[in-house]
Amino acid sequence: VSVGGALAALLAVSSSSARAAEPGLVERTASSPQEVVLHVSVVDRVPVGVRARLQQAGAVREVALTDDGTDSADVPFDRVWSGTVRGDAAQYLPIRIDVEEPTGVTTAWDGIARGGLEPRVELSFEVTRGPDGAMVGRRRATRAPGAMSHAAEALPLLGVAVWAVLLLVVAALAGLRRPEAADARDMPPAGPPP
Amino acid sequence: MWLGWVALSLAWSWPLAADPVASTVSLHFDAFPAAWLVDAARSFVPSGVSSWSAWPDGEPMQRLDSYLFVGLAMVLGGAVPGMLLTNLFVLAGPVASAGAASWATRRMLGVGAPAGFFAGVLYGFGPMALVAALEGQVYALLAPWLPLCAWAAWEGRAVATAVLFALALGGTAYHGVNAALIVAGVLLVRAPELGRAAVLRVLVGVAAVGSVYAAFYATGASRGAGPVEGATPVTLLAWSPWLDLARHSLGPVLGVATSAFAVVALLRWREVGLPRRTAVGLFALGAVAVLLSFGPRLQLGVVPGRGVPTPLSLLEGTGVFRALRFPLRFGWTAALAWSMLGAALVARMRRPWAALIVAGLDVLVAGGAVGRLRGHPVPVPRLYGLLPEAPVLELYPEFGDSREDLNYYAQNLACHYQRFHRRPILERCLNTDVATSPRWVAGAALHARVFAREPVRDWLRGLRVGSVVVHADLYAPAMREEVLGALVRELGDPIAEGHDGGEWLMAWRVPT
Repeated sequence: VSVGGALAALLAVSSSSARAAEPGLVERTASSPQEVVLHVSVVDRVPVGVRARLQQAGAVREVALTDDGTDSADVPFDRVWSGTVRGDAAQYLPIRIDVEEPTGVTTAWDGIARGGLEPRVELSFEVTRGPDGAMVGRRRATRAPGAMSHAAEALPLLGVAVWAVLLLVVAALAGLRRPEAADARDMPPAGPPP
Repeated sequence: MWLGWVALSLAWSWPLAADPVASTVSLHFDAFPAAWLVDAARSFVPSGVSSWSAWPDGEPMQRLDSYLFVGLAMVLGGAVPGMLLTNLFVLAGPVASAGAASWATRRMLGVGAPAGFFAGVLYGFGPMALVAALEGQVYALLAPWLPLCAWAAWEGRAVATAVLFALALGGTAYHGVNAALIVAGVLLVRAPELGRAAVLRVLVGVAAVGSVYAAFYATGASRGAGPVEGATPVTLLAWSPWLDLARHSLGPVLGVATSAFAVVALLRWREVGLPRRTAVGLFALGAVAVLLSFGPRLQLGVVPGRGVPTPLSLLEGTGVFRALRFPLRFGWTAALAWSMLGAALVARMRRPWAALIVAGLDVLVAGGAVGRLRGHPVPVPRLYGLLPEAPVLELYPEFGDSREDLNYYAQNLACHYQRFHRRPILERCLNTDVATSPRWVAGAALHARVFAREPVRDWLRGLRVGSVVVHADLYAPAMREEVLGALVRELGDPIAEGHDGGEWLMAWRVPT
């Protein structure tokens, strides 16, 4: 099969869209739904409540995060407070997270995350103490309680380490054919470059 | 054979093939200016400056990274829409790269088809390709020039090496730098067979092409602002969700299979049957590239710090790293050299096809291609169709210092929108230093006037823009109130407000 044939196959896969070319402004602007799932891991304290204020394409929504399993994305009593917001898909997600304690309400995180118009966006935060002892929020890559979020971020690294050891062992112990026998069969075909 | 590559490509970047016209799989924002470049390509002719962006200065062509990409866009002349061509590079680029690496490996090392495919999979679809796709630097995915350059130098073909080196430079400057390194490495290995005269001919050809490019580059190519992005011992091999946290995915350089098979091939070089000079040479070429990919400072922890100085640190302060800000892209050389070396081991294995499955799993699963390359729609808000036919000032706050990612995202998204509304914008669309953008300067000046309670109407007329589009989501509530209030006072009611296409936008007409 030639290079041209392969490229033609690629184009054929996308031909239905390609024939129509890119649609005009109006056709492209329909809003699609977006579900934003928020997870807030609270370290070193037991809050009375955690609230989030989120903006999707101008629409402001407030949600009380829970840690009792009320929200479908929540694991009960794992010290990770979760909540789900549904609205129109947004490029930018301005988010404010407030942590309520008996002594008052503190804003732990106030910033903008990128939504990328994905149908489902999962955002995780960790609320901990800053160097001065004050409450501070940070984005985390994974949803996990306390310092476990750091470990969860490292899980793929652990998986890759196991994969690396496996491949090293397999490659090192693999039985090899004698070069002479292999050479006769493995000579590259003559011909011009592709 | 080619159908196999195509099938792998469809799986690798799925679901892109299902909607290649109106979606992207890039997490980062560089796919937007790539698509913009396709549509704006002809506006660079004949002056070399596009009037579409950076209005009123215009966007100089020297800021381009890929002359091959823009050349193709010019030839196609708008027949293929920008986002489709961008996505075709994601779909077809790795196919070409993998096919070339497979062919070159077989020709250079005399190995069979499965071993060639092994090298092709790890090079064409490996971590470096994944990073390019996630970052949206799609022209980097078309990298057949490097293995073909290696083959031409291996054979001592001076003209072919020079032409392929030129194509690599035209693809992206980083491929050119990698090609130069590969040619140097291959010539060191092959010098005894080729002889001094042939080596000299190849070097002269490469030097001639490099000199022409350097002279052109010196006329005003873009120098990036920001930290030097090098590989780390962790990101050399593995991916972590932490890398995608900010949707900026500069990550693994080599991957596990490439590294493991290369190391074992070197250790078992006698059994593998490669000449010692070839085995050691290919490994050394990859090792040098890995060292270079660390950049001037080797970061040992996850959090960037001062790092341990590498030999490249001697070049700090010389300006080299303003032009070469992403040394991790030396990973292309390491990927090629080590996947070729690994292929030599695979060629001798009793079950070479099993190694091919391992390579497939490595690029699809271990590197995270499946799951990380997700489809994102790329709509355009309807509001842009309602603006007067005149230059547009996009208004949003400046985030942190000018290197903050959100500044670049908003900038590049505005360039994507312009592909449809076609009115001149003040953003730079081929920009790696946002502080040089006329939009940045105008936006900061307008905000300063608003907060100083100074009038802005005549100032905006002096700017000769026809409309102001406020990206309201990006403002903190108090600042937004102040900016919107000032614009209503000075320019009257907005001509449009939109909440579709993923943004809350408000637009004002600037009276002439």
